[in-house]
Amino acid sequence: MDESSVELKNLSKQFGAHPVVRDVSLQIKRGEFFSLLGPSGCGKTTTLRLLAGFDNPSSGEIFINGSLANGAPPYARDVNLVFQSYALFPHMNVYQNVAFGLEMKKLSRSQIQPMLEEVLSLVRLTGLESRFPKQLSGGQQQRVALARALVTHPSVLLLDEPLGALDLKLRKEMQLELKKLQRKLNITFIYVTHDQEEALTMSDRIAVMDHGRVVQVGRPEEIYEQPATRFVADFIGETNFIEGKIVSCDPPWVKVDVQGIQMSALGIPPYEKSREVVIAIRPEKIWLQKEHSSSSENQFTGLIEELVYLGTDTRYLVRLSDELILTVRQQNLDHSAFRKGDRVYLGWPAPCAQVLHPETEA
Amino acid sequence: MEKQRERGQLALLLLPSTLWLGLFFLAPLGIILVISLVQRGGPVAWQLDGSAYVRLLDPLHLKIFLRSLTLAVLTTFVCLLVGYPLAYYIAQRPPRLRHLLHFFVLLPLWANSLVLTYAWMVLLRPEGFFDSLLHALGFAEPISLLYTPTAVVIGLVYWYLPFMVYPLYGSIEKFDFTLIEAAHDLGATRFQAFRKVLLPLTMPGVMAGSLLVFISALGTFVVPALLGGDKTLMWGNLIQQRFLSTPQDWPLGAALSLAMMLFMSVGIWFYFRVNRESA
Repeated sequence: MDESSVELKNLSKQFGAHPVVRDVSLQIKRGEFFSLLGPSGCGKTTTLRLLAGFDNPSSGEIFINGSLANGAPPYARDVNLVFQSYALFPHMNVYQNVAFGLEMKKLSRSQIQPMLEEVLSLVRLTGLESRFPKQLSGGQQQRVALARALVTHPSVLLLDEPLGALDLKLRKEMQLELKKLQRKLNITFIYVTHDQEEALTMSDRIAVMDHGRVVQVGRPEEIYEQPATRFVADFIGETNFIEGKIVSCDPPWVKVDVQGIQMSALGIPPYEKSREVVIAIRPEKIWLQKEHSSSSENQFTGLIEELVYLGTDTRYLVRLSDELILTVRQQNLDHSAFRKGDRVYLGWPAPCAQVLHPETEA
Repeated sequence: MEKQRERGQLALLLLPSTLWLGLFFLAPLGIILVISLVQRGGPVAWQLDGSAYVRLLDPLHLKIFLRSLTLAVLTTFVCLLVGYPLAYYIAQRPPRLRHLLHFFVLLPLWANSLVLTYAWMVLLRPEGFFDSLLHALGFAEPISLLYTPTAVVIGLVYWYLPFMVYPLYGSIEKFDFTLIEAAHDLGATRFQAFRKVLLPLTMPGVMAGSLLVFISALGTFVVPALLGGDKTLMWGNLIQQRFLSTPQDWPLGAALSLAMMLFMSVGIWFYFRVNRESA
């Protein structure tokens, strides 16, 4: 309890008859970079707004720093929000925008000045104090929004897709910068995004949301390597889904029959025989070879149907049988890559393939 | 060649507005200016004379001018106080309801304003609606609002409220309400968010609405004539009387008109200057 900065207990929110957030329970640790990740309409932004206090939950509880925050107005909460649109005050310059929160706390000018200098140098905006928002670039506006939210030293910073409006290069720079900033200040960040790469890059932990529910919570590598459901595996990165029936089970290994081809995958028992399951395997975990490998048991033959050159790697579509085509990604280490129509051997280490519970599919 | 034709087309396009302004604005203005500079009598004697401007400086005129100014300021202020929450309310409704509310705001403009003002006389007179209501509520003293400055302000607010609501609605509707959330998030109470964020950003609407109401109220004569009686004459009534009632004095009436126009022009010039600086 002492450890958690923010705790949500069975939080639900509906607008009219339409449920937007359903029974969300989360514990976010102090100083953690926590992301809410999901497609648009999954309830991540609404969860953030409930935390900020702009909306009230239909049921459930919100604890901030251990005390119940339900019903407290936004201005009484020790959390600040960085808006997706930045929401900078257009009639105030950078100095006035950033000082706003401090002025609301009734601090004097002499108290404000050093805090302002500190935060502006932190976000590298020194010298732009007298500029107005419309005179700034997108990246600079983003930094002003960040400085404005950070200057009052909130215990939790909420960020609603703050990098969404920036171009790709700037976004990548800002991702690293935000992460560095968060480490330095040791403030809890709750970050809403639909960009899986962004979430994987920055987060200590991620909660994947779908249709108002939290589907999985875990560290980035857990979410990526061991997706709990087909939805998570599909949403985060690229995944091959292979449908088949269980042949035998030797915990933790499961042998699955896919149109006459037998494959091993990692699964959590119990599994009864001939039950229908789905195997998930990432394209980059599959190896491609021209010759048969004697050491691997999960080994198949296929025909290269299509290939797409992507610079650092190439994406192959390999046909194993009439109805089974797998996507394979191979790094372009040499030029002796494969051509369309090549017969190839392919396979994967059994631990990389995972059996998903059909009933947990979203 | 080409340029000449373009110029000809432009002149043709500007012809209607030039004619309109010339015939219905500049020409009457010229006539008024001429009349203000001749002798009075029958109703005017065509003899150059500047004495109308001396008569203009009568202390009674100053008193009426100050009264007009006070009532116009008061009307503007009450319109702002009523109009701002109303415009805010309308701007916050879902679009379909907004249309209906717009209709209600505009409704008084569709009826004959003279008839509506007579209706106000009925409501405000002794033993009228308000008097009876107060009586029923236990106020023993009969009150008559009719023929008081209060009645004039009520009537003027009623007439000119739409002129305040529309410019205000225009600015509030364009306002990004995320900014209010941002202010709350940074610790501002509702009042602070209003004063620091909403009000400054809707100031153009406040200024435009106030100017429209103020100018209109300052030049009005129907409302004070019907609801104000003889004791609450405004500048407009003064002008009307010099032209139409005895003792007739057209040159003075013309001079009074020009004085009012000059005063308003200064006000409008000031408004545009302030607006340009804040833009």
